[in-house]
Amino acid sequence: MATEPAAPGADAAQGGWRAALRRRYALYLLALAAFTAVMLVLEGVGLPRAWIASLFLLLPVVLYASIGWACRTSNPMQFFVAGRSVPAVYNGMAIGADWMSVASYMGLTGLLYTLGYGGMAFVLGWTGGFCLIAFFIAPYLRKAGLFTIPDFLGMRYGGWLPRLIGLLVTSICSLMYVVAQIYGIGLITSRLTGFGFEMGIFVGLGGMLVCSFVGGMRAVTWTQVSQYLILLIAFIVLAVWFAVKQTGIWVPQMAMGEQLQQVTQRERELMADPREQQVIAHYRSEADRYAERLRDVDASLAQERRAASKQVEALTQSENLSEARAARKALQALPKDAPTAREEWTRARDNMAARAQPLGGMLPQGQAFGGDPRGDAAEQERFQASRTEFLTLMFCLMAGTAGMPHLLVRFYTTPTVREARQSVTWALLFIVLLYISAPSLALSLKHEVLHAVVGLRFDDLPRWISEWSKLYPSLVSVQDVNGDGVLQLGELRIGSDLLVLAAPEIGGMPFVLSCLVAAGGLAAALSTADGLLLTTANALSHDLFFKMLQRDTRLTAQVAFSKVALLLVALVAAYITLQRPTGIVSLIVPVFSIAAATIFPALLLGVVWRRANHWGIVAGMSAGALTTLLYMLSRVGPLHWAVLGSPQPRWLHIPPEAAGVLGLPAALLVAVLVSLLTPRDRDAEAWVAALRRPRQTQPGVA
Amino acid sequence: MQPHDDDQGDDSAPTFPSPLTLALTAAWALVTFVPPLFAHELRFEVFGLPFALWVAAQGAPIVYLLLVWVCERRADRPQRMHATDPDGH
Repeated sequence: MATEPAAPGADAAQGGWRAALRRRYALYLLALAAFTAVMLVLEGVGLPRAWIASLFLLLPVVLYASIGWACRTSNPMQFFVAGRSVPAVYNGMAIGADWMSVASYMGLTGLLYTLGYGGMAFVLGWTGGFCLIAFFIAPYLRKAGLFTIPDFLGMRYGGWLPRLIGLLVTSICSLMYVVAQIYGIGLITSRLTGFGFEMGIFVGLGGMLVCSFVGGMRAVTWTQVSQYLILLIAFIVLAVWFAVKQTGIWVPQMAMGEQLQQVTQRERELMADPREQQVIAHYRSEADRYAERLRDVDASLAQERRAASKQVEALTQSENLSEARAARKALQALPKDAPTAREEWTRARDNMAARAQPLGGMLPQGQAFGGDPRGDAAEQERFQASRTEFLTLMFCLMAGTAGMPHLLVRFYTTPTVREARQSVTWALLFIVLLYISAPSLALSLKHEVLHAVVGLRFDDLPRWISEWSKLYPSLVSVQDVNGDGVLQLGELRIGSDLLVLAAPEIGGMPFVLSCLVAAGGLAAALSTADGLLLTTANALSHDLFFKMLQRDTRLTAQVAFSKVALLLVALVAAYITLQRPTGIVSLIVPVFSIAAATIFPALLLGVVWRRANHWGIVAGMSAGALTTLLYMLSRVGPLHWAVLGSPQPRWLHIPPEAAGVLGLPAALLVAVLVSLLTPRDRDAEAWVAALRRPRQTQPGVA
Repeated sequence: MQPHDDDQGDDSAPTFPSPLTLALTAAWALVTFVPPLFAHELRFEVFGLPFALWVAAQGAPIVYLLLVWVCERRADRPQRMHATDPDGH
């Protein structure tokens, strides 16, 4: 096989292999540039858009699949950890692609656009976590030289319980995470091709299964490197385009100052604009209407029903058929019982109240938090809440990063501990390149929307608004609330998930760039989904089937079992995605909280504190998981409506998705107490001592 | 709860976590938590952006990268953790 790596240690062969890798990826970059150039020419000549879009989506998927096919393997070392032969730089890129999912590529910029500084919690969280990984986790994982994260817990703490808890957390986290990726794939493909959302999901799923199914970690690694390159290039092109267009500066990070100044000025104008005030007044009255209804749900529901059926009757008698049908639909759409009504109306009231804020509910880009610490009591309260939300979210994302199984398994794939360390640096470099461009891109988009879209007449709104709102009415909507025929900021709603995809159209770029950006998004989704699927399948196969159920079976059978598990997990994830989840980031943040409260403390204590033992960690991880889930579920989700009646208020302003900030200390505390109360485990302590002891390559150097 | 006292005293065991790691962790915490906590008080601008905003958008990610790089360099120098597979694969 062409890409068969030499055994680590055979230095000359390794050197030749690394040179071949460099040549191949250089060639790949050239091909990518040439392909984009040819497409630009063809677009100029007049090739239909549907053709360009299909080529841009299908060719990369074919490419990834062929890399996967070329790397097909059933050798367990190759399948589980890519033969432990991935050089640090390439592992860095693979980690970059593994890490930067649709949440980073599409979700993050959207959040920075809508939340301003609040979205920076994600930038900080998703980069700062790598410090924890570098200081406390990656080198020790590699030194342990195992296969999965539950494997590490099983070896470190002994017995099957830590392994089982690790496995459960890994599976749940990866499954939710993969659902977000498949949702992203559906968004991208349905926009660019004529495929529907469902069809798009299955095409994307096929692309990623070819890779992980036939070649395991080895195929996924080499595909991820190529996916990283395409997603980074697409994102940077986008950021640079806007920076040059708006300020003439070629480095987007340096353009931010000027952009912020202009955005801030425009925001001031809009806040003083009487037409924006009219929109706000409209939403305020809507919110009040729902609040009024909520005062006595049963009576209001009965009254709504009476009014609606009266209207149906009146319209049916007047033989106005189409309006009668609409009225009947409205009657059927009314909540079916009082609890549903309470839930729906509460949500509607909160939505309306959120939109009845200046700037369409968005904070000014330059302002750090909502509220004012020097204002009245309510303002101070808002400020505290806003700042706490930021800090807790950031902390959860960091600790969750350092406990995210699909990221951590990549550190098993390097030839040496040293290269595992180096690959953290490379990975963070490759990730930071995108993360410091996202704030700039978000600011550019705000600039563009405030200056070039708001204030347009409804008859000549740009095409992307009508096209996107037709496809996803829940993501883009415009409504002339005050009836003046002009678009106000308060009348425009853009879902944060599609901002990046729509960005080339917002900026008036050639259609080919829309396709390139979509291909980048697809690369981000596929690479992360591949890593996630493989992590779950390998954990199920290695830890559940072979370590826990039947101990000594051939390694090749593990690979076969892993492939079956892979298919099953992918199908379950696709099924969940078809139920249309609510949004990328809202799916992913709880995953970070759970990982932060379970796997992260177990790994951290496992390395830092030798005394931590089996029962300590079992109790600790359980306490962490329970605390997190209880706090989360008593505040969001279907459970609280059914069981508790209404959501519990936040405790100390902690948002429900950041429940890991409570779970992590709970896990650490319980783990330490229980460890101290139960007997020491000398074997485990010796294992940790060996794990920490650096191996000397040069005798005599202490 | 004294993690720095190694049982196998023969192996010139380094203290754990090393002072360097602790210093790097302290730097990480400083960059991470101080600017958001005092975003309202730190009212000066860097490159035309409010300080906290600039730190979050560019400063902190770059500092993180430096910290990770320093950690890698220093860990490599005195004692190379050059392991092969313990299980002999």
